[in-house]
Amino acid sequence: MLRKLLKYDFLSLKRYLIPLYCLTPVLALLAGMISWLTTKIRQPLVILGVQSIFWFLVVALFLSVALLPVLLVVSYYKGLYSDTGYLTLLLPVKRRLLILSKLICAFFSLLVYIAVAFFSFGFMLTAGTAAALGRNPFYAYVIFFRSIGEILATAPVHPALLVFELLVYIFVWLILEFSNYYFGVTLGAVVFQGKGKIWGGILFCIAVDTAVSLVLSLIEFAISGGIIGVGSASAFENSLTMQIFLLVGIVLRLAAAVGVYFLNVRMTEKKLNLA
Amino acid sequence: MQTQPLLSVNGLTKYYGAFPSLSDFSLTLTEGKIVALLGPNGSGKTTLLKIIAGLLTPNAGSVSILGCPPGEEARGVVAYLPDRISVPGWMSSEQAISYFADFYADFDREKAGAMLADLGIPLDKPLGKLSKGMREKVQLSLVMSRRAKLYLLDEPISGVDPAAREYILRTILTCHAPDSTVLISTHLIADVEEVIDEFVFIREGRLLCYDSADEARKREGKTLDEMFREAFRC
Repeated sequence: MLRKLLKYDFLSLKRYLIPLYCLTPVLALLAGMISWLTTKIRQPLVILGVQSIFWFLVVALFLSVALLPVLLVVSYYKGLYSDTGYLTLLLPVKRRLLILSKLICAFFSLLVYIAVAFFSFGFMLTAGTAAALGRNPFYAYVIFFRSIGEILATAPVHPALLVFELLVYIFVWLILEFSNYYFGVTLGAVVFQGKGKIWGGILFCIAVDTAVSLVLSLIEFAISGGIIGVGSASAFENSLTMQIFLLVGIVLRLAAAVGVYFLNVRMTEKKLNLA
Repeated sequence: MQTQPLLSVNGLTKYYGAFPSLSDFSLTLTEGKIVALLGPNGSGKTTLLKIIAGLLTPNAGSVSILGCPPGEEARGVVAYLPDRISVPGWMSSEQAISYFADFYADFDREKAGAMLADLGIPLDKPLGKLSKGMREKVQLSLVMSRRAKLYLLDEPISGVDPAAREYILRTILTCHAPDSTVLISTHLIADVEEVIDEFVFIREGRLLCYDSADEARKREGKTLDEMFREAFRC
């Protein structure tokens, strides 16, 4: 059943995701080209005009990045708590699968987008400089990865292990974020009974995410200060404290993500009143 | 030996704020009937259907469908047609058919295809690009192409033209299996008068009357439409 749910969740998201996946690199390409152009122009007025366009594109690029989480939250709301909910919530499948499918969908959509945004932003920011230096526009990535390699080489643990742990940490953090957002939307739907529309959901998204993040930070602070006996920054100077700090962060976030997910399921099963 | 009722609703109460939409409502339906749920606007018809479908949580009382509460198992035997368009606009009729076929074991793909062909609905066009009436027809065709035990139809004919209305009523009459029951909510009593076996009058969330249509007509010497007008005169 999960496979079928995923199929239709991806199909419904496809119409938003594909244009967004294309929009970000196109904006970055334009901004990068304009950045490169400014290195070739000498007239101050033309430079001002070209730079205005550049900054307009940068703002548009940042907005396009912020758009994805908003789209995913709106899609979740529409899929479960608007008119489409009359179709989705009546499927003979467990509510936990409905929500899990949407979480998986959001996670993978975001992963792909992070990759797209990483290369788009990098190109935009470095195209002009690389051109001025007579290098290819992707030269910055060579520098970037070389620098990362140098930092990892000085780390107190094996670089591969550190990269793995950091990736797991980021993945778990992303899952927690969407678990929070989706629970917030459900909470909004339960409280407003559909009358608050999507804005009620977004309001609760922010509230839930802030509350969970605050609680987790306090626990981490208590652990790093009380148990390990060091601040979070100095924890990374020592192999053992770094491992403990990362592991605690991963376990805490994973536990919180699972807990919030089950709260969401419980609320959808027991408290929901579709208006 | 007494058989288990198809639908059993006991003491159902539902509040919207301080306003009771349903008050201690009880009803038991058996298999093989077409039952009209009749009442004026705001009498609690849609609320009742939504609670049976599991979309609303009652404040008190219980619902049992073949012995199960509204949930995953019950959703497999209940086909609910809401009073709004629930199939998303990005889906084509063909995708909607696949969607139903993927999730409902009792869905008849051929029947749905034939019904949509009869109604002249293009299979490849996104539903968002069809008229409201056409989307309603698609939705009804999908719901009636299931071999469900209990059909809950909320205003299935209100938004369609008279010609399609006749086709839909014929469909409701012919599509449901002998062991299935159709609970249909409507204001267009004259249109459904001929097809229904039993009727429920509901007023201010309370059961006013539940009777056999034929017996009531014989006893009162009036049509159901006339009885409704008399019972709910403003």
